[in-house]
Amino acid sequence: MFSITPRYQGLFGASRCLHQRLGRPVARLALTVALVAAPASAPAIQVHPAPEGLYAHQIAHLFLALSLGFFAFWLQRRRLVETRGWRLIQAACLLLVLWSLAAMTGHHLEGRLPEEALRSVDNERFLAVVSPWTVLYYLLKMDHFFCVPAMALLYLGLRRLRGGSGGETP
Amino acid sequence: MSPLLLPLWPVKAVDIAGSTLMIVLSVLCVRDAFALGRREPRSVIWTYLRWFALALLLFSVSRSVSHLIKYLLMDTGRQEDWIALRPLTGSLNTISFVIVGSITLFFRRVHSIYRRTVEDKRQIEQAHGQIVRLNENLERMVLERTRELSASEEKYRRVFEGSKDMLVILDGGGSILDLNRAGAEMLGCGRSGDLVGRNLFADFFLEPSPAAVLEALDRRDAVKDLEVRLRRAEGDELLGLFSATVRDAEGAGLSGIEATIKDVTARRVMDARLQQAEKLASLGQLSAGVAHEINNPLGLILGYTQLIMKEAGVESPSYEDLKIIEKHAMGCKKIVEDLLQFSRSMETSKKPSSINDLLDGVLRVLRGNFSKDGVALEEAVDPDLPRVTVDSEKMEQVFMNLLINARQAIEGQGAVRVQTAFHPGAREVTVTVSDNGCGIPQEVLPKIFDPFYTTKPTGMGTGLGLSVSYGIVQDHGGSIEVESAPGRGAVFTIRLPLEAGPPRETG
Repeated sequence: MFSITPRYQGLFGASRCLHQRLGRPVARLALTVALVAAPASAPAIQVHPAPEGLYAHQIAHLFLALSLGFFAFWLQRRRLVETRGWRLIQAACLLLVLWSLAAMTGHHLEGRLPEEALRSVDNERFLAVVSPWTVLYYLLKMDHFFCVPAMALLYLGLRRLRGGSGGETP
Repeated sequence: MSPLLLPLWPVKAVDIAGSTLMIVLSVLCVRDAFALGRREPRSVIWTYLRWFALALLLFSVSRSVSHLIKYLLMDTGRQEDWIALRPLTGSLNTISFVIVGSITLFFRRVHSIYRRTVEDKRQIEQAHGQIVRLNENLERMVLERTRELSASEEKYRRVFEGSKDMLVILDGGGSILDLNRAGAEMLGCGRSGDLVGRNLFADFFLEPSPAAVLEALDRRDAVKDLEVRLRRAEGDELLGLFSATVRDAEGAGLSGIEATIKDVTARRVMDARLQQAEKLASLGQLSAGVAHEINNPLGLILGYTQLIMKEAGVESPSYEDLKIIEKHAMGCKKIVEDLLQFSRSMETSKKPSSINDLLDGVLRVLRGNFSKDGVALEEAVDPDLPRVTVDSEKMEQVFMNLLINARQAIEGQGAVRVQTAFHPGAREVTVTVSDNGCGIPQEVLPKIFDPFYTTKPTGMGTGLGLSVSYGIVQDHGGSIEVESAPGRGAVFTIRLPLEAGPPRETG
């Protein structure tokens, strides 16, 4: 890491000298160039350790769940769900919300899973049930049971809207 | 006790199959979303769904592909590669969540803007529809009003142009802005357009003066049946009744005048003739009464005078006195007979006669005298003149009177012209006696047929010649007219119907 703290005395002294010799605009330009080109330290740059990625991912899941939840609620409030196409899309959103929450839980449990829980027996990998959470983790690992039906419902909803007469336009 | 071991192959199988399905389904979603967008390209909803499907495709692909790559690398013993790749696929996965979430979250806002836009559009279209309807209504009203105005204009134009009186629109100074056909004809101009711009008062009014008319209009705002005398383009005069209303500009005096002028020239002439006829009829009645009353005692006076003269003999000293009495009594008798002629109380004996022959007889008598006085007698008789039922003796008397009057009107040398003509349409014969003498003043003209009216010196005439002629012609159902002006001679025209009708009551 480096610092962008300038060497004040030297630079300001040079600036004063330039100011006296060349005038104010040139002195300002020279000071700016010196500040950018000759930093002493840069303490504003932060270090990002590994857990940050997980947190960001979890927050993204939460954000996705909330936004899709709002969307499903909005479809309800707008009475769009009275048409089948939008009703299917709403169901897809709710399933994706469930998937997102499940995935969040799965990521959370994965972080707490002891290393000995994953075992290999005869080149076959197993998950040892070391706690009840391990079973939940095992089930949540198959999150495609949420997201694939969700995508299927979305596809069906869009196809329904596509085949509609235009009355489904909100 | 060893823990329960759950095989991970189902997880792997579900993951591989699910990832594959996710890719396939997300592609299908994108295809349908794009198809929707193509159906209504301007719909923000389908646009949103397109982006939503694309974001989900990104999410599915990033997630599923990374899962599939993971299995591929792990199964081929390249764990290190997967450990190196995992943060990248995880980050992409995270970003895809955020994109899907953001698009979804923003959709509500976008949709509300879209709804507002749609509502605004609907209102604008509604307002536009109303404006179009109003415009159409306005156009219809304008069309209807224009049609009404055209009909009204046509109606009033018809009234304006069809009027037999002059209708004229003037500006405040009297300049003609519009004039109907009758007005143009009245002023002696063929086309009303030629008179536009000319000043009606200054160019045509003789009496009252233009200034007096304008002053009257300015003072009273309107005038009604003001008698005016106009000078026509041909130079002759016209009598009219002038009525007008004025348009006042606010404090700026006359801004316009709408006027009518009724031509009463012919009516005034007829009125004058009627008055003349009535006057002469009254005089005739009076004369007849007086003549009848005087005739009897006059007859006695004359009879006894002649009886005394006979008894006294020529040698009687009173014979000369009686002769004087007889002479004057005879004079009176002549006057009484003339009066009776004038009043048409004398018996007439009418039979078809040749007017040319009658005239010829009179002219033969007068020709010598005329020639001696240096007055030429010109004849222009119609040889095909039909015979007219008249009392020959009385008609000769009429011709004689007119010719002697004509001769007397000429001082020194001159000419008297006699003309006859036949008018088949009116079935009448005209006899015109004209001279180039001194003429008759306008003020005298209405009196010339009055009994005892004469301009000759005392003793030179009784003033009964023209009265008697008038009476005789009237008695034949004809008329006698005179046209004259001082210095331009006089023209007497006698009109006689072919068959003597009942005596005319008018002159």
